[in-house]
Amino acid sequence: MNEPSEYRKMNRGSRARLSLQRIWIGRDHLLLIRASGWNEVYRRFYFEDIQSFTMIWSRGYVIWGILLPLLALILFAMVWSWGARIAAGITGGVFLMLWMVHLLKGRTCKCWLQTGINNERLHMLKRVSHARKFWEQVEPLLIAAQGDFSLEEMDAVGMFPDRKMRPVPPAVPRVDDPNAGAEGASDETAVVN
Amino acid sequence: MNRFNVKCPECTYPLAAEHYNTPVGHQVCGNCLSKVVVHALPALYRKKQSGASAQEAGLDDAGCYFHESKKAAHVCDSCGRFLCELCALPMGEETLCTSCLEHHRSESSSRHDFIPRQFRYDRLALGLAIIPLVYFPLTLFTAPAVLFIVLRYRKKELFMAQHVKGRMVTAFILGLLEVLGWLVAFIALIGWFINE
Ligand SMILES: [Zn+2]
Ligand SMILES: [Zn+2]
Ligand SMILES: [Zn+2]
Repeated sequence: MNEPSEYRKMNRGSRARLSLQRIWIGRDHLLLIRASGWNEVYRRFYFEDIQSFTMIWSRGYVIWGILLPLLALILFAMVWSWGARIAAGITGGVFLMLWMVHLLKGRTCKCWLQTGINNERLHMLKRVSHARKFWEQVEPLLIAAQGDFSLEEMDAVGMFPDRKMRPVPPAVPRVDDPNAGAEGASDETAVVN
Repeated sequence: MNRFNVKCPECTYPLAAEHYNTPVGHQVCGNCLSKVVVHALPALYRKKQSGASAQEAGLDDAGCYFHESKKAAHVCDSCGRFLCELCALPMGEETLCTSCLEHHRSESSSRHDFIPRQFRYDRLALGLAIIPLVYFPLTLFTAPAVLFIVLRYRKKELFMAQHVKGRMVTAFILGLLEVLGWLVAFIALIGWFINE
């Protein structure tokens, strides 16, 4: 049996789409564990196969940054109007706390890990700071397995050929071209002789 | 434009390679205006070595186990068979043959590091011990099931699972208490009938 000690834990799982996703660093691969109910699904990303890590800054940060204080205010006013002043204070306070925590955790993001086969969303990386920490740990391992990215090499291998630069196929000699026929005939005679 | 460019995950528009791997900052997707940070690696444009083509075996060459006419270029790290370029499957630092990989991906394998999924009996047992408590009569059926699962799978080794024993023991104790609860209830009921 493969000892769990062979893996290093990356981060704490977070509920993502009702499934618990965790990521571990193995000897030569990242192991993504997705728990759904009583099943666990494993995805392995070998260091030498990982092509890119992409992060998009999501709008959640701004949206919740506006919504949470509004919610705090609305709920505070609502409970206050019922005459429960202490409860109103607590409700408002809780939402303000959530707002503070949200702001302190920093910008929100969505992350993907791409291999030649698929582009897997990493649901547990929801904050830019977490994603950066993740990449700080993983990048050296990938570079050790693959070497450094080189834009020149990528350009050399993958640039679409320019339409104008495409090599022109040699002109097919026309049958009725007297020159072509004569040359061919003279070559043949030379070989025979 | 380069055919290897990383695509924007939101809209699949190719992202400019000049901005990959910049230590700070981000680029804006030319199509959906998302702010994107791309970290790229050579695997993006480099072809994987294996699977390209297998050479014909010469007179002195060892042949592939699966194709005798092909030259052996690798050895399976699991079973030791000689493999040609086509049959060798690089799995990280290891090279495996198809039959070994298939075997390791099945539940019956002693190695667990290639399995694609796994059923968590410990979670099932604990779930069956706790969830039916919201409607106690259900435990008449689930509590024996919990005891059965724990006894049947208590020795099953689970890959990358933590706190399995804790869950199993907790589930067993809860299941046992539930069964005992029912026993006490039945005895009390019988006693009440006798007294009537
Ligand atoms: Zn886009
Ligand atoms: Zn093998
Ligand atoms: Zn072969």
